[in-house]
Amino acid sequence: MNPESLLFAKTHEWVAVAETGGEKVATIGISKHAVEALTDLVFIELPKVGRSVDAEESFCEVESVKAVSDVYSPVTGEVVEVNEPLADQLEVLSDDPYGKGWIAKVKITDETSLAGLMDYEAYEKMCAEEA
Amino acid sequence: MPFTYNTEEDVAAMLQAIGVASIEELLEQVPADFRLQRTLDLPQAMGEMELDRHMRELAGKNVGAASGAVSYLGGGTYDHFIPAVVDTIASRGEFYTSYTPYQAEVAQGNLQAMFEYQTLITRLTGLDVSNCSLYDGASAAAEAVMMALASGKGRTRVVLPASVHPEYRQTITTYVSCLDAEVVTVAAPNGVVDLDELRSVVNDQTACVVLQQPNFFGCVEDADEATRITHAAGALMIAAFDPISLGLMKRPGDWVGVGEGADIAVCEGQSLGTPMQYGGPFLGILACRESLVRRMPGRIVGQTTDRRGKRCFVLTMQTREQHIRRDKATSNVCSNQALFALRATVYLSLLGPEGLKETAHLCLQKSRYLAERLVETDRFELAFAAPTFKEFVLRDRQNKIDDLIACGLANDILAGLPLGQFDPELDDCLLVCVTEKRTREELDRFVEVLTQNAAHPNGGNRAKSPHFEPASIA
Repeated sequence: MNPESLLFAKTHEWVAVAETGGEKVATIGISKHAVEALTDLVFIELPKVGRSVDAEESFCEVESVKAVSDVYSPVTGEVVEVNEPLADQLEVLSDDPYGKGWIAKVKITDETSLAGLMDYEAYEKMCAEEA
Repeated sequence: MPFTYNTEEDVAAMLQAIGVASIEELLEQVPADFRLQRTLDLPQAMGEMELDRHMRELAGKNVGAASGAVSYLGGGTYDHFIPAVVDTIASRGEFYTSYTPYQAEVAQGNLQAMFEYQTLITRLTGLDVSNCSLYDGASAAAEAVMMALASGKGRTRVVLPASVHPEYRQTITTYVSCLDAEVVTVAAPNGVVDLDELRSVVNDQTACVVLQQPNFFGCVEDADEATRITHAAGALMIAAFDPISLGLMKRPGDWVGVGEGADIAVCEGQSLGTPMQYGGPFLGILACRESLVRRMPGRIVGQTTDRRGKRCFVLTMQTREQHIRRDKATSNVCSNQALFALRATVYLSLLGPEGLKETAHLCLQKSRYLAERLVETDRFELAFAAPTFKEFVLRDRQNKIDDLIACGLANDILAGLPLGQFDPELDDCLLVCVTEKRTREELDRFVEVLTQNAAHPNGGNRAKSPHFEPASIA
């Protein structure tokens, strides 16, 4: 996926919204910037399918050799799919964070949760300021 | 750190350096109400010779296995034989004085010893991974329950049979008291857990069941059936085992079938080469299935290769631990009992599988011999019909437990653990433990002394019967 077409949360998750059968489903991952900051990844605890999440709620944990970080859901909804193979192939997350490294798909139940997200340009600007 | 005390000149120089006139002035930040307005209530200082005599006098008042008393005390602490090699190796300075020796560059020997310990424990329990020890058996059981709650997807029920050591149950209850968890106790009316009641309380909200095998009363539980019930509800089975018993009994990981048993196994490892010493410090053993390893508390040593491709050892998976995982860590344990783990390693490697089997056989045979001899006397009966391993509950038909204990003490015998303190219904019962160390002469004498029905020895310089604060189990 082209990162320039994605939405970003200030906690470094990306969102791609697709509409299927009248329902909006958000595919969620973490940004290249976040993956690089984490360094060597060793473990991911994926969310459970069927779980309800609120925007900005932690629903996944990523572990590197030095730290454990939360992944926060950028949207409010229900987890409908998770990227199971990721658990055994964390290099996919490092190599292709915007593609095969997606983490979960969440059926959006409250679209207002999308309002607080940034576009790529705003996100890049935020990262540059943080650095 | 050298122990050197400050002379008056030292104190004056330090006070002058920081610009205060006196200790009083130094402490004036502390409100007077909070300060001890008198000198410490300590006796006069003694010279070394006097001190040596004083300490020996105090030590002489102790009654215990170390002072030559014959011990039938069990209930979590056991008088097993310790081969001399254990002390010889464990008292080497490299092991004995090292402080947190985990830096891979300088502590390969220590790390390898801990790795060997973990290997032995996984083989002993039939589980995949072991940490390199916790504080003691009771806290290991509580840590295992915390693991189950953390990995239980919101399950909150913790099921504890009444046949699990009451102090383990208290410890678990304390650990989970501020968590979203509910402790449910299942009765053990015949010395073993009531399986029907277990079936009725283990539900889809149950995180784990803790089963002690052999249990607090020395009885052998139907661990296979208890495990089936637990697993059928999707809960974890936590085994609290006796390491010596594994010379004879199924490994916790193999209950039901090989690899289908307990998910976590914990025990008090004191039996493995550590003396009793008034209840600690001891050795908490914890092993589990690979799938639970990220919830496992404490240190884990792993094997890897260095830059040159040579085998070496390091602390691994530290992201589980509180110094990295912070508030998300399962446990706040940040130490271990390396010296006792080392003793267990030396002990187990000395005995080997055959030695452990033989030790377990001797415990079984000698304890059965004593139980049968006592029952023959008519004064005593066994409280429970279930098979036992090295401990059994002895009921005194005359209900004179205090007399029996006093009578034992007068003859340098520690007759057993009075159970009334844990359960009023067992007020006329003693928990009697027989290890491989007991000789036939000692066992026969025990029967003789207990059946003499001696009057209460009055006074004397012997300690009173062992008394423990009654345990209140929530």
